Amino acid sequence: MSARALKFEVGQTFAFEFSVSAGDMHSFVALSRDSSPVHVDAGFAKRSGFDGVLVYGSLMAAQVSRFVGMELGRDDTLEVGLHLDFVNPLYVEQRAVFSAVVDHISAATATVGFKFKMAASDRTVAKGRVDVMFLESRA
Amino acid sequence: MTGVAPPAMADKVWARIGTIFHDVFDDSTIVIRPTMTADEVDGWDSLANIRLIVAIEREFDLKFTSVEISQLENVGQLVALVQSKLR
Repeated sequence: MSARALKFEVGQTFAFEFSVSAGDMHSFVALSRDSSPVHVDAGFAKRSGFDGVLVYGSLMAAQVSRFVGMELGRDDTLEVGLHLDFVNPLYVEQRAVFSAVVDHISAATATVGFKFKMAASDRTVAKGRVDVMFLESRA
Repeated sequence: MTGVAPPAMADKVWARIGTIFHDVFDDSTIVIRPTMTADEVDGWDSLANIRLIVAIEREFDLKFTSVEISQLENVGQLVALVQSKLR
């Protein structure tokens, strides 16, 4: 069986919208057992200088998983590296945009590198880099 | 001009690749040497190898081919391949 072509170009872009619901936050509390006040107590979050409870960083990381697994149009993806910085707060139910651009293509390893950012209300809330291997494109 | 990289440049390539090893394998005690193989480095499995190759491509802004990668037998050959692409 021949390898599937790696049809990406440096500079190619991707984008989708997302938001994190109160239900998502409750599910994550149950899953992670992390109920830090800044993520669950609006009063605490406001006393700490925020507009409301902060979305868990791991729920933003989950959007990277969605990007890799569902938004690239391939069913053979495997995330092999991730770097993620949290830059500004993201609030529950706040609309956000995940955007990514191809910045490196490694034909030898069938791996594509993407730079990405998540933005809400015209502010970057998170940014990073993810490397994705395409299993059926390996030689 | 021969095909051999100047010593200073070669040292810098070794140093930069050594730093990549520290990062990829999360071990700052690794000292790379020409005869070192994957068997000698904890965690150097197929996925780590992908990360290593991609990190080197990024660091030096170069591309490997799958044939080149499959023929590498040790770190010395890897460094020599990088040096050959930098000339």
